[in-house]
Amino acid sequence: MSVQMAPKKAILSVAASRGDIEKPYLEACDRVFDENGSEPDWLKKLRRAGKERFKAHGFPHRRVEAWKYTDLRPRMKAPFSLALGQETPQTIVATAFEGISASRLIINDGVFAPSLSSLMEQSGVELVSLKQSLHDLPDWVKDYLELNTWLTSSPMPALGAALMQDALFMRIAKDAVLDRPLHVIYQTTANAAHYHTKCVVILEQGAKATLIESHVSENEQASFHNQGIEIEVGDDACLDHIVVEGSAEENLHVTSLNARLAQRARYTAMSAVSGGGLVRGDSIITLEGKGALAQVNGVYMLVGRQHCDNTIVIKHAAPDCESAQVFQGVLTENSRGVFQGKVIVAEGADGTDAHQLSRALLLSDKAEADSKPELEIYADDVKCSHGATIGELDKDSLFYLRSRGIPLGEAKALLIEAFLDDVVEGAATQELIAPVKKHISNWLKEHESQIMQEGLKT
Amino acid sequence: MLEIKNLHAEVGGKEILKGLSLSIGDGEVHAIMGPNGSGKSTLSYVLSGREGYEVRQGDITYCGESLIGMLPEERAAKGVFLAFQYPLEIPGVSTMNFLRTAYNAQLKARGVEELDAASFLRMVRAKADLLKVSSEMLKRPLNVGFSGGEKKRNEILQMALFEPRLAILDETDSGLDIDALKLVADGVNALRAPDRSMLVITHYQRLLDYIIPDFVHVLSNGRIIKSGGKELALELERDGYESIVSSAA
Repeated sequence: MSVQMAPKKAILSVAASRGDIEKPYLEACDRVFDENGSEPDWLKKLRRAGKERFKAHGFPHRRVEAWKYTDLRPRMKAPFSLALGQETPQTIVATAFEGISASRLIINDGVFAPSLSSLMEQSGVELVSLKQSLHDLPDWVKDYLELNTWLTSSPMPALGAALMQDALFMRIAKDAVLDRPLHVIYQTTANAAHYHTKCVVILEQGAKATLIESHVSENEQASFHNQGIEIEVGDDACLDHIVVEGSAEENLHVTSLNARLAQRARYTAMSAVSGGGLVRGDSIITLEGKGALAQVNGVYMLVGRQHCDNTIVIKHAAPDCESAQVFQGVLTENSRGVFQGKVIVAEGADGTDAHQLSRALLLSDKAEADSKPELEIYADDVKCSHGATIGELDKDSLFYLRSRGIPLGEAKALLIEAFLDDVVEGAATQELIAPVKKHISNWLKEHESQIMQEGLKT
Repeated sequence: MLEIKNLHAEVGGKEILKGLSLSIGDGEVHAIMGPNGSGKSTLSYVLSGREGYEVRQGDITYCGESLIGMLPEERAAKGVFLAFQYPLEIPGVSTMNFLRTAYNAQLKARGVEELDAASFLRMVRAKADLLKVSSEMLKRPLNVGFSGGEKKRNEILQMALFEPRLAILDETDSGLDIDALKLVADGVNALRAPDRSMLVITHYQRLLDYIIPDFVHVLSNGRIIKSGGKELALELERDGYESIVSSAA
């Protein structure tokens, strides 16, 4: 594959002073505090701590190293107002997973909608909504929120803690093996709104589950979803996590994920992003127990001015753990893809095996891909590797396909599909790979003109 | 069925074909022989429409229609087939999926209804058996991990499937041992037909012991400098290109 480096862009100075952009969000915090006076004190405390942390840092911007390729501040100037959830929300179909038997949990504009959700009777799962059970919360949920330090550790989850209208807690009991996936569908229906979700998934020792998250929308004016998700995988437990972001191309979506893996825990994640105008996935995965494994894969397919940023930190805190990150994307028109992968190997985490790979296909001269792999190693016996390529579709392969009668657009789609499917294979069970592949092939069918445009450079 | 007149073509601004003329009738098998760098592969790419191979002068008429400016996929649908010297490896695309996509794309371009999966599978299996292409090979990604012989057999399988009117075989013998060569040549010979013409491009005479041409042409410095019957190939083998090139000059 021929390699073409992305053009460098000049750094724009951030002109607006900080308080201006954050002000409406801080005011929203105060309104939420006023309106939720009946909440338990510990929750009020959490909200206030969230607000203070956000106030101290403001929205992330390019001078913050981890956000150097994605500037959130200018996008937050839009006059978003806090969504409070609808009285009678309607279901938006998450097409990719139609026909997959799962417990469907619908979160509409940040609020869990039990009336739309279809909870299959599944033994071994406890499900709690903060809003539904506010005055009747089980201790484990209360403890989780009260003792949590991550929620208020950085500005985006902190803002979410201050403003969340609901939160979903899922606990899978010891040794429970779920026969069907848990499918959380985040629906955006409110216009020009911001909303904040929290989802906590706990797998106790030896439990096994699949979590699907779909992002869908039906709004007309861009909205902003600030998502927080925390995952705990206990000793010998196993979680497959699939994310499909297919919401409208105007919406903004920032996810902060914090996952902790105990001994011999396995966590495999697969994300497919084709929706959202600005999508930032911020993941911190800590391998805390000996022999844990994390496999984090992702694909992205972008058009127009879409911007997709995958920023992942994997902390090897215990010996004999394995981690792998593979991110591949296709960029058309003026889109931009960012991959930042950082592996930290702590002192004493010997026997670490960590790999990273980032590959981007640029189909347009105006598209841009940035890749920043980082390694921080404080142990001796480690095996780490990283690789990054940015290239175009192979011309010889295209000619070969065309010489067999396959039209250019179809030939390109075939090569792109093969490139993306390669990442999806092996990320989960065949049953769940199929919908992700379908999502990819649907995208290719719907975007033939973007694939063709400015594409063929000789 | 193919008429090349005074063809001048360049690659990357360098003229490679310098006034090539060649006429091929229905059902004829023509061999083009020539030393390295004489323009053999360039001719095959110009005929199949590869980008970057620019025709500067002359014309190529195929079945009464000029090929110049026609896209590679359009030529394929009209029955032009190139068996590659180095077939491409395409990871992630299964051979069977590729064959079906290509076959149906050609049908669609001709306005013929596409073939359903089951009928197509039966047809491929029958043709694949003759070329000893196993069903396991058909499941594998296109040409990935195939041996030299397997790749060439896969090319001939495609030729058998697409049933072209003009088949161009570019150095089909390269990289093949004698058994593999026989198998491939048998496959090609089985496809000889009154309405199918072939252009066999080769450096060595060896292939022509198995695929016996009606006509042999010697290409040198972008032009055909000598034409004759199949005995010309033997003459070349005996005397080398040097003597023919210098006597033609």
